Amino acid sequence: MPTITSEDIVRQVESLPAFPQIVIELMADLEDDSASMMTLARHIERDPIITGKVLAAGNRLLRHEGWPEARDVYTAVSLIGFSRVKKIVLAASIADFTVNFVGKHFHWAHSLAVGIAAQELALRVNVNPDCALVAGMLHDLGQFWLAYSYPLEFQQVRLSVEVHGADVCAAEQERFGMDHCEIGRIVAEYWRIPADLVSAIANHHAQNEKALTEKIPALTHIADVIVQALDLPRREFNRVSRISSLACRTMGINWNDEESIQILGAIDARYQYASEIFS
Amino acid sequence: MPKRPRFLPLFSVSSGMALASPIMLSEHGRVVLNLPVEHTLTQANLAQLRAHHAQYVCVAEEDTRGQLAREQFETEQIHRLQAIFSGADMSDPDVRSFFDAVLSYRAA
Repeated sequence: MPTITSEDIVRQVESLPAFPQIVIELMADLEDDSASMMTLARHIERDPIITGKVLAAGNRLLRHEGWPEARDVYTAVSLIGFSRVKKIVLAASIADFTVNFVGKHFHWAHSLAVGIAAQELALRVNVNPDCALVAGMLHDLGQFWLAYSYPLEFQQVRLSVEVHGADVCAAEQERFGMDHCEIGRIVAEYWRIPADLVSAIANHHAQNEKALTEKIPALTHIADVIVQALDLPRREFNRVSRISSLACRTMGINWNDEESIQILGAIDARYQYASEIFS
Repeated sequence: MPKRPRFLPLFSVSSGMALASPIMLSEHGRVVLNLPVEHTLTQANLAQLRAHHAQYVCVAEEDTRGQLAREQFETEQIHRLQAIFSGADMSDPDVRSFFDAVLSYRAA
């Protein structure tokens, strides 16, 4: 039975599929209002796989909106708009990154749902929605690492969670000596992902309450809880073990308010919308 | 006929549907589309929603289910949520109110 150390994680990160450079570049540009459509198109065009995915998702969107199809990235960016193309690129790049992991379909659909939920929550508290999307999509980075590095043991842990209803973090602690939140933190720090996103990855199960006074970690935790409760996507083992009161306060959410139904409905409908675009 | 709110992705929305929640879309701080609750959507409205990149709409849908079917659906939702929350401390007020909000949404 493996007991994982920080050194093991860093050593094995090198054998993981390379973290998409385009996500790092886009994250660097997220707060830069001067980042232009041309810069974005150039980022995309450097990667033919991402170019293909952006055109495929973009053209599905354009067809629904009654526009002619785009045959190149520059036309797609012009017709779809800078903001939406950026979201497609982030989602498509992270999907491409996770494609080699065990249970890739689950990881992708769950990560997309948490990303969308995080983005919807971010819009309500003036947090950059693209940062929230990336935080949500990467929140289970530690599970990607476990699935890739210890596929058999990872599946055994999943089974104990699914069949016996074990708490996922406790089961990982027992099996590996460390849970996916801590593993994700180490991987994210190694990749020099921004600190607020690292904190979101490390604390999405609300391990460290203090971290949930910051909005990105708080909204990532709540987003993960919401998608489990709404069955997005439907899995028999979707579970809610807690929701942090502090995270709800940080986000100004009161579940007794009528507004909370609007939040749940918006997340549900936007997930269906995105599933269609990325199907 | 009773009505129930449905949050639908824009692909599933058609003209003739009535809004259960108002729509206010703004761009660069300027309101570009403002439709009140109970407004009946037209083809022109749908074109406007697509043009302004709306992704979903909350419509009021006629609930054609009978009383028995409604109760059965609500019972299924309660059972499903009880399974999802099986490891949660339901005496925690935040967990309880979150559970109630999700049930209220899912069972509508």
